[in-house]
Amino acid sequence: MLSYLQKMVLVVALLLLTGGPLTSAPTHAQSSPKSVACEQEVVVQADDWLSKIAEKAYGDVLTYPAIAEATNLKNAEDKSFAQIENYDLIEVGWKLCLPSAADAQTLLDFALAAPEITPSDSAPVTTDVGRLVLATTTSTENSGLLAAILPDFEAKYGASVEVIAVGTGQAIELGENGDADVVLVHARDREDAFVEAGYGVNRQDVMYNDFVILGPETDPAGIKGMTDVAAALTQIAETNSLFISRGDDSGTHIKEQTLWQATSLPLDEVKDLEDAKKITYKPQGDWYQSIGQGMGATLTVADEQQAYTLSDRATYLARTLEGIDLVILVEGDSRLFNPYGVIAVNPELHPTVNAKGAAAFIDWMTSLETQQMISEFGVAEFGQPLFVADSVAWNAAKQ
Amino acid sequence: MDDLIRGIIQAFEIIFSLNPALYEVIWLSLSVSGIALVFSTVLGIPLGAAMALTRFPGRQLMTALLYTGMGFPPVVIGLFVYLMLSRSGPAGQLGWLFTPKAMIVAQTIISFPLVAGFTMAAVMGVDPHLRRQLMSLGATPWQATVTILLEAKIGVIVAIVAGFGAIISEVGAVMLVGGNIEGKTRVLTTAIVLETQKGNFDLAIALGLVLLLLSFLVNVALLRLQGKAFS
Repeated sequence: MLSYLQKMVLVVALLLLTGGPLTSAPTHAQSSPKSVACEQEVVVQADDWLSKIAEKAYGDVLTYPAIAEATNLKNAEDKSFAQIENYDLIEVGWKLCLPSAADAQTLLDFALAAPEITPSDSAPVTTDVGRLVLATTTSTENSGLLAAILPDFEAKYGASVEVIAVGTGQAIELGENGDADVVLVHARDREDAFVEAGYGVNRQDVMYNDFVILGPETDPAGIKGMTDVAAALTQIAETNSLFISRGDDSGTHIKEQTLWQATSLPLDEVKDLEDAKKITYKPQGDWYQSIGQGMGATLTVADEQQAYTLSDRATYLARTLEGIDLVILVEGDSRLFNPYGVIAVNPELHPTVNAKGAAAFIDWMTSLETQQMISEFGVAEFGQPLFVADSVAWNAAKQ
Repeated sequence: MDDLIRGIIQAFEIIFSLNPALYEVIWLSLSVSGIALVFSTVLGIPLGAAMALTRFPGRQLMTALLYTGMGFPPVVIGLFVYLMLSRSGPAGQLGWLFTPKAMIVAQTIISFPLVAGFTMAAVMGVDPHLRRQLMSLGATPWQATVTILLEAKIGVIVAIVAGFGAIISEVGAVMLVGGNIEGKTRVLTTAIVLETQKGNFDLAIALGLVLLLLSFLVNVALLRLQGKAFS
C-alpha cells in the first residue's frame, strides 16, 4: 500500500510541476487527426522494426505507434503507403510515413489515447483481496512479464500473488482441483473445454504473442525466410533434420501438433495411457525428439544439438540475452498466433477459492493501464514488445 | 484422494498392459542405474576398504570429502556433468550429452561416494584384531583385505543397496544431462515429472508405484545375497 501512496504522491507532484498536461490529454484523443503530413518517407529494409525506425527518427523507441498511425492515415489517401494492422509485423519494401516530431506526439496521444486516463479511474478498491494463487504457463513467468506487472496489482488490491508456472495442461488441472484461484494460459480449445465443463468462469482475452520456428544458423533444411509454416515443417521432415518437441502437453506442444497436422506428412497417433480420447500427433522418424520439458529446457536442448524447434517469441527473446545460437527462421504465418486467456476458477465448485481476488485480477489484467504495461513490456530490452495487448476494453479504446 | 485411488488401480492396469513404451522406460531406468552401480561398486568398494584399512597423510580430509559427497545434491552433480559435456564444455567433443552415457556418468558420480563411504564404515566395524590375526597366520595383505571384506559383507551389500536407491530414484541430474527424450533418455523418474506437469496425476502415481515395485524387487534380490552371508 505504501508504494501505491508513493506513486500517487509522485503523480500529483508531476501534475503540479508540468502544469497538468495529463488533463489535456483526452482532448487530443477526442479530436483524432484526419490527415497527416509526412516529413520523411522510409522504405522498410531487412531487420527493421517500427521501434528501431522510431528511435532513429525521434530518438525514442516508444514513439513507434505514431509511425504506424501516420502510415495508416496516409494509406487512406495514397495506397502506396502500407496498411499496418499489427505493429509487430512490417514487411521489407513497405513505404512508411514519418510525421514531424510534433505531429508524432499528437498521433501518439491519439494512438495511446485510451491508456492516458486520469488517476481517478484507477482508484484502488477499498478492501484487500489477500492471497491469490495464479496458475499460469511457463512463458508468462520465464519472459519476466509477471514480475514486471504483478507488483502493480499487489499494490492496488492489497494482494499477494503466488505464481505457479507450469504447462497449460497442469495449470488447467490445478484449476479443476481448486488448487488455484485463477488461471492464465494459452490453449483456446482447452480453455473453452475448461469453462464448458463448469470448472472456470469469466474467461477473458488478455494478450497474444506469436510462435517462431528456430533453428541453427547453418539451416540444413533451408527454411530461412519461409512464410508458410507447414511447408517449412515438411522440409525439416524431408531433410531428416533434428527437431526438438516439447512433448509436454503444454500450449506450445498443442500448437506444434496442429502445425504438423497442417502438413501432409504421415503422423503417428499416440493414444494417451490415461485418457484414450486424448491423442498426441507426431511425425515419424528418429529426427523428431520429444523431450517432455518446459520451453527453457527445450531451447537448451535444441541449442546444444543445433536442432530446430518451435518456441514462443517471448521466451526465445529472453533467452537470447543469455547467449543462445538459435535464430528465428520462420515467422509471421497467421497459424503461429498465440492468444492468452485468463479464467477464474468456479467458486461454486470450489468454495475455498479466492473468488473476489480472481475477479479483481481479471478486471485488472484486462484494464487499459495493465494492457498498456503489457504492450510496453520488453520494448526497452529487445526493441520490440514481447506481447500484444488484446483485451476487449483495449481493442475498443484503440478504435 | 480420487486421484490416488484411481492411480493405484491404474498402476496395475498399466503394468499388465504390456505397453512397449512403458517397458522401454523401465528397461532404460534399470540399465542406466545398473551400469552406473557396477561402475561405482568397482571403484567404491576398493576405495572404501583402502581408506578403512590403511593410514596415509590426508586421510581425514579424504574422509570428510567422501562424507560430503554422500550428501551432495544430485542436481548439482547433474549441472557439473552437463557443463562438462556441453557443446561448449571441455568434453563436448564426445557428443555424450542427452544420451544414456551422460546419465550413467552422472549416476556413477552420485552413487560412488555412497558405496565408498558405507563400505568404509562397514570395514571399520570389523574387529581390528582380525587383520593382525590373519597376518600372523601368514596371509598376504591382499588375502587379508579380501577376508575382511567378506567378513563385512552385510555392510558392503547395504552400501550397494544405498547406492542403487539413490540413483534409481534420482530425477534432477538425469533430467538435466539426459534431456528426457522420449524413447531415448526417458526414465521412470523423468516420466513421472512429465506426467505430473501434464496434469496426468493418475498416470504419474502409476509410474511411481512401478518405480517402488522395481526398487522393492531389486532390494529383495540384494537382501537374498545378504541372507546367504548369514548362513
